[in-house]
Amino acid sequence: MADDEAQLVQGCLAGDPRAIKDLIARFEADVYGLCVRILQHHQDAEDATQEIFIRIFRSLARWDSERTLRPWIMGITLNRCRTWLTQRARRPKSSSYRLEDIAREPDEPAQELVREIESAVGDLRPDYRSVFLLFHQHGQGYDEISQAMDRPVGTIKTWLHRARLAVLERLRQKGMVSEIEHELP
Amino acid sequence: MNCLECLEEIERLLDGADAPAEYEAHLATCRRCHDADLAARALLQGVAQLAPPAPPAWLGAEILESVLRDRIQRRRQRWLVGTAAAAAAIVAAFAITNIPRQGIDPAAASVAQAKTSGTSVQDNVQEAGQALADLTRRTATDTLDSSRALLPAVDFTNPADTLAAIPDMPAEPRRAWNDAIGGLTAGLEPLAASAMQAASFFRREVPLLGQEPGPGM
Repeated sequence: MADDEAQLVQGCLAGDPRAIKDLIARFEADVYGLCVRILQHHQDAEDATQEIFIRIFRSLARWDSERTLRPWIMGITLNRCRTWLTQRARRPKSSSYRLEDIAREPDEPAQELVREIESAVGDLRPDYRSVFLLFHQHGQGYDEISQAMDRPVGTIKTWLHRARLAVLERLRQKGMVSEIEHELP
Repeated sequence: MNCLECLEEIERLLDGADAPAEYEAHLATCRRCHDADLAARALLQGVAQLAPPAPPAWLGAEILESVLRDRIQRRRQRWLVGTAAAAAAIVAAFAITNIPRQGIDPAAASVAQAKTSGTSVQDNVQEAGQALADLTRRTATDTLDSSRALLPAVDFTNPADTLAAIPDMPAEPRRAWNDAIGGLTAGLEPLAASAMQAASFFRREVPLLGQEPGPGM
């Protein structure tokens, strides 16, 4: 995997269009998916994804080939999303299509559960949301998330634990899970 | 297994680990841990269906175009900076190599000083152009002074007498002198013209370097 990624990066640095296209195809879904969940806005996620890939290719020469590419790319994605959220907070709120604004028919219980989890994750503070999504949706381990977010593994574990508690509390309030009398460690 | 250990096991369950046998045994005897286990499994079931949103079909091509466009723009910027630096270096090198024997040519010294003082490329090119013009004037002045030395002393106070007083030069020395003057002029002219063209070009192009990058940057 490391050799394959190193070759891919070398091709991109050399300007090989196929390598550039391949790298975009390999990470487009992950980057976009994370942007949508963090920014909670489809159009912002599309614009941010384009910006992020431009930054990725500008910084590609600085990638450490001893590490895997995915955490590095996710780190750039998270940083850009964080900046985007900060800039958006300064702008006047606009009534654009947020993910939750779309009216839907009542879902089946399983779909209702997913929607509530989506809503709960959307309400998490950005750091907790990032860790939760990277772990549960993008399948990244603690070490990879630690690299991507440039935080110690212990901090990542704490944030993930708190994110889970917050989501579970939302599900309890909606009656989807029973009262949890024990507090998770 | 006690409740505290059971709750720690639930956290590992959420991390994707398998539960040991004593965990299931404890759940059978403890309602609270049993409810906590149910909640954790509901969360795991929900996030398993929480698929990342798929990007729109057109996004990949749009990203590729943006990336390639950015590469072209950055390459153009690097070319402009490199060409400006090379032209400034050529002009400065010409000015420096024509330092008179008596000492440092003040025009070349000003060019070198501008290069090290962190002034803009445009300032450096203007300095170099001015240095070249100064050098050309000095060369022409020195040439004129030297030519006066070749002519016998003539009284120029009376124009009518001046022309009569200037002796005729022999044909060959005159031709040689004219050739020398013509050669000097011809030799300096393209260099001065090139320097002036370079200065004009960079005055037109250099402001582009100060502009903000395009969209998505």
